[in-house]
Amino acid sequence: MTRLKPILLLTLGFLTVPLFGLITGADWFTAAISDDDFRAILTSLTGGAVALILIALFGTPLALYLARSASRLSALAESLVLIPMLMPTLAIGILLAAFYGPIAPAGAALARLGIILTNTPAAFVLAALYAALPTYVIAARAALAEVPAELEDVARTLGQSPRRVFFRITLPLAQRGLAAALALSWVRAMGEFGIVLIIAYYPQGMPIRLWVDFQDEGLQSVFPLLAVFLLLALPLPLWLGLRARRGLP
Amino acid sequence: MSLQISYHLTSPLTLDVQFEIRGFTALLGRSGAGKTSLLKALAGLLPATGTPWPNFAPESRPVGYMPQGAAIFPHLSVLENAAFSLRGPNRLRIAQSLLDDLGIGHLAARRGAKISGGEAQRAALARALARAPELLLLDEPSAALDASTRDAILTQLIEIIAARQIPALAATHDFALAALADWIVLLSDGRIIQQGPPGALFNNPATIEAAKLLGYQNFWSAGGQTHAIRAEDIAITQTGIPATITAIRAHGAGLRLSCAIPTPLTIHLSERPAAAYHPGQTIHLTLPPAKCRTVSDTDN
Repeated sequence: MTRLKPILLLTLGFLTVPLFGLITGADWFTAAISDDDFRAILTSLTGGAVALILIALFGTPLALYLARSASRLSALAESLVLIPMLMPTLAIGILLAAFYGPIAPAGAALARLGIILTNTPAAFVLAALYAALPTYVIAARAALAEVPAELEDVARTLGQSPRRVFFRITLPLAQRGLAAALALSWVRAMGEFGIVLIIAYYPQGMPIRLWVDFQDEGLQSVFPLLAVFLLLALPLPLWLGLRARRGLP
Repeated sequence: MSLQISYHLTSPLTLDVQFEIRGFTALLGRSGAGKTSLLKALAGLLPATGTPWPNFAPESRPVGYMPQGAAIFPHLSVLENAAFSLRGPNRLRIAQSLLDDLGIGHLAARRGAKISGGEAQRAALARALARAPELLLLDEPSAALDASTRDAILTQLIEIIAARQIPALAATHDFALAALADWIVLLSDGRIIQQGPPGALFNNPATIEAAKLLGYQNFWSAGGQTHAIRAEDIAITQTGIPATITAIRAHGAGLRLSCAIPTPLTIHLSERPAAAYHPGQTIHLTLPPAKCRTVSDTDN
């Protein structure tokens, strides 16, 4: 290991460079958070929170199915989950605009029901869902797969319905991994730029606001919002990720 | 205390079995014979047809299932494990008295993840008994136990189950465990090849396969029939059948000799003889007729 040390330090140093940019690049005394910035923070947080709730509700059953089934059908389901995850986000944005947009059949039908999925808060949530749901499902599947099926079997023979087994055995045993999966999908939802750029430019979330600030006023002006952005997106996932790595108490 | 079983499985392997459970019954078979699958089918965890409990969901079967290694819920205390199937205000009190009965009352507050193999097995038994099952299913109950405490724990386990008058089916490949049972069922090739009380079964294996499952190592043909004898029942005598030693190994305090007459035979000597043996040496064997069994070549 000693001979590897310089390489390890170099790699870790290389990875930390962006944080140094935060210290050296900013002019903290003149910078401030504008009203637009504040609205963007609010948009991102509320949109992200709604998306996260939907992701937990709809992603967990799918993750459980993928973790417990080994059929050809589940392999197909897994590849369907992977497709949006592997596709460039800009491409997803364009394809979503083609599907949910006002002139597309699906978009038009939804619009008649009063649901408009371009440049609305709902569109922002939609973008966050496409960005983060696959990430959550894949990470949650790994967490759920670690719960021994045998424990669930025994719980069934102790008179518990599959639903009760999930809440009494599977969920408590997988909770750290599931929390880490949620944190990971939170980062994806907060940082999403490509999909948002196409279908939810308005209301502006933090990434779009950063991009607009950067374009209009230059590098110096984006740092306050950037700091808030990193503060909201990073610490929770880092903490949960490290906790999950340490395993069960 | 007895129960008639008739089950048919097609997945993950084909099993077609009819047998009886009487008291503490050992289901003896090689690994891969389908013992665990049969237990799981009886618990409703694998699809199967037959009686009792045709097409019942696992949660509606009056069955206590103890998989290999006990499967204690690691995130719950021993008390919460024992009370898992119980509802109502008295659930913890009932669970505690069960734990006390099984001699692990002092572990009630301990995390499920932090108890030994023997303790986990008793906690799993308490958990299964709390539901007052009509049948207990135990998968390899001896597998997770230390060799030093194994027999004591198993004997105790069998006594507890017997005292409660609950029929039990214990899957095992260990004929020493089967010897402790009230009734033995031999599983091979997807069906029951023989069943009976240990005394009768150990002395009268019907087939070669049954004899092998019951611990017979030596088989030879004579007079158009196949005979079997245990390795410890062969004696070395001054006169008798001449045999050549092919290999010698230590066997506890005694010796294990491989011989050829020329049919290969294995002999266990409980004590080391004064004179040393060596490979290639010719010795004389006596196979006491009372210990020789005649077995059928096929299971049919």
